[in-house]
Amino acid sequence: MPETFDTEYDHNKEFLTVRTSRNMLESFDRRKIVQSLIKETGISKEIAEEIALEVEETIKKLKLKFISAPLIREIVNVKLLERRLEDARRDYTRLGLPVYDATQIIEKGVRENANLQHNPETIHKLVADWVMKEYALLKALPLHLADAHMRGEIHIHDLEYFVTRPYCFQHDLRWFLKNGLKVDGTGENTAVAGPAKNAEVAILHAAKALAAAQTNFAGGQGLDFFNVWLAPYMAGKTYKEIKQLAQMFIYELSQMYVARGGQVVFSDIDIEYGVPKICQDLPAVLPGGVVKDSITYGDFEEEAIMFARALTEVYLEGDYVGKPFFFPKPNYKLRRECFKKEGFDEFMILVHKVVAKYGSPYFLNLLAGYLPDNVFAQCCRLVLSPDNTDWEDFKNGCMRTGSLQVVTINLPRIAYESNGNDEKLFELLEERMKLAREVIEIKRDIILKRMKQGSLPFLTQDVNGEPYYRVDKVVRSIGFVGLNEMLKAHTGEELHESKDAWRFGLEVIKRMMDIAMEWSEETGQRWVITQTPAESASHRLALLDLKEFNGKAVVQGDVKTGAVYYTNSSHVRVSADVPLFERLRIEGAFHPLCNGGMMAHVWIGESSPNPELLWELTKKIATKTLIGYWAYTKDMTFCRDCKNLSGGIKKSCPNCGSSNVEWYSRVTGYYQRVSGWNDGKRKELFDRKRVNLG
Amino acid sequence: MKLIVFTKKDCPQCPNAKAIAKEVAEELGLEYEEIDIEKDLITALQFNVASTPSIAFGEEVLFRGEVPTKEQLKQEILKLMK
Repeated sequence: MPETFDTEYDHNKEFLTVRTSRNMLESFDRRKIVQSLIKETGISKEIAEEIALEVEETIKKLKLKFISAPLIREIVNVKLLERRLEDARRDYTRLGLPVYDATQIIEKGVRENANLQHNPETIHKLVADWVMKEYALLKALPLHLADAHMRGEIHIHDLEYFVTRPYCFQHDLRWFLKNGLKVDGTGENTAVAGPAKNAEVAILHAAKALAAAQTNFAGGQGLDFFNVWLAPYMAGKTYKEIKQLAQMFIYELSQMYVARGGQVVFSDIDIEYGVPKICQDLPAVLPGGVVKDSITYGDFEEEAIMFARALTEVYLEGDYVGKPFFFPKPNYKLRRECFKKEGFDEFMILVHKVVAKYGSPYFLNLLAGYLPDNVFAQCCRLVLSPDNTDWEDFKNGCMRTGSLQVVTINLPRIAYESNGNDEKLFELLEERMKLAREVIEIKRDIILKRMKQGSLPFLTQDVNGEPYYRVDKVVRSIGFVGLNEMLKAHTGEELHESKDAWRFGLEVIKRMMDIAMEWSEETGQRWVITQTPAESASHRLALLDLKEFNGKAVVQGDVKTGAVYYTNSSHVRVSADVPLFERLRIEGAFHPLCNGGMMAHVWIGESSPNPELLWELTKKIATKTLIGYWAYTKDMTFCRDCKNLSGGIKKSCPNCGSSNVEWYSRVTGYYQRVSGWNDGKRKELFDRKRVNLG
Repeated sequence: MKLIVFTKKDCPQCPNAKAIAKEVAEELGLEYEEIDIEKDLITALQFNVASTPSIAFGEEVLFRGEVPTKEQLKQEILKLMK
């Protein structure tokens, strides 16, 4: 609201000059307080006038040298509270951060999100995040939900974007190739591009579509069948030209430092070996957006393979100074049909050379027997199995879906509160899930409202009479953290310590899945269970529980320093001395229950395994376990002085001895600089039990 | 050790897998068990089985989501018994 004060009413102007929020100096006028109180809080005129008079008297008594509109507002708030008008105070208060905290952000930044560098854009983002988080907790969410988050019963992810954007999305590049690109969603603020007529432009459109979408989403942006949909544009090109295009795309997405307050786009591409059977008969979108029934994707098998290979080689080479590309995250799909294709083994050995050197690839396992043919992976670990209507979209050239919002359940907290009583534990589990559901239902209404208000223009673009973003087609994600600590607190044993504890853990997550399925039937919307990445949640919730349940809380890390964390989702404790396949067998059992996303990690430390043996290991994981999605994480030390990259977490550069080094590892579902990690995650990094594949 | 076949209702290949597994179990003198993964999903998951028909010998899953020939199944079991 404009906090100005009328100059014509000047009974006290000689000593009360107000610095307004419009950056003007004006004379105090208590009528402005009356007007704003009535407008913003709906209280009666009588009370508003009484408060305004009191405020004026207080200000006069204080004989202040500096009076500003925010200061007046603070005094008004006290007067509201004195009258027990708490709701009115909530509506009238200002949002923002203390001067001290603003200074800290400006001068030091924060470490809550490892992707955030300390730069002018992120400083603006962090200050804005503060206001938007407060707004979400104060205004958008009812008190019982805001408090459930603050107490640590649940963790509402991306609160800073809660009232403005949905979470993450998987796009269908064919739609942009066929229709061109309006990066602002309307074409009114930016130039409008028609369908790409050549490969270079198609590549740029793919990169810009993700960057544009990122401005309307909080989380990851993915492109499924990336090399398949672009294969027709590679026709007639030499391998060298195709590799140049692959390089262009990867550099675009790892260098456009513009999204969400100075970050690269959180991007994924799904890479196929050739053209999968499900795509072969689909009419291909050709240069110029032309579609002919007689030309299908099956006609571009060779180009799809060449492009997949080229992308992989670019990942293998790394950037100009030899660092890996962290984004776009490459997801390689393992399909049974690929094993029959010529050159697949050779291709996968190339992929595993990238694993051995940088750890960058991710594997989506269609051999486990429970994921459908058009499953995709994106963001930190969102793995979604499309439903029947998605198949229709897939055939019609615009399959698109994502997650609206993630809310995580703090599982260990439930164990502390249920005191060993199974019945109570399952009762609390359902209760917490209902809190999560309430949050997500509010989010749905908010996003629908924003779409109507026109503040999500990329999402309201028209696709054959429907908006690009269909709120009721995306999933509602309920995550969980700390199953291992829940089991320890409830059964006395950790996940890996007994078959019974493992079984009880499976019962807990199955109950969650059953509830989500019941809700899906009841609402006609898609409720799913996901293994939360918990980059900040695992640390925040462990800290809160330690404070609230001291003596009872089971946390990992260092209690003395506060560098504590919960084990992610249904993972085995990272430091547990468990053989690799036993770990994967235990963790894999949970993957079919997590229909909204899952991920397993194989920590390979500093080793550079033989790519051929590593490929054998991948095949074994794919065929012998239920792991649906996983990555091998290699720790790396990069020397800022001599630019040498070496394996492992080292205090100094093994090449030049400099201690001016940066470490890289996978924080949760993506690689990032360790210096940006929170204390809990840093401790976890050192606790991780690596497998020696050297 | 037991020979276990994981099945479910309306699984077209399951009768075939069960018949082969039963025959092999009889020939090799093995205990035989069937687990319906819809009724006891958690047990199936602890075997790392989520598709049918699947066949396990002891704790080792030999075939997932496919029907082996009798000879293939015997061969895999004998390998493990050595």
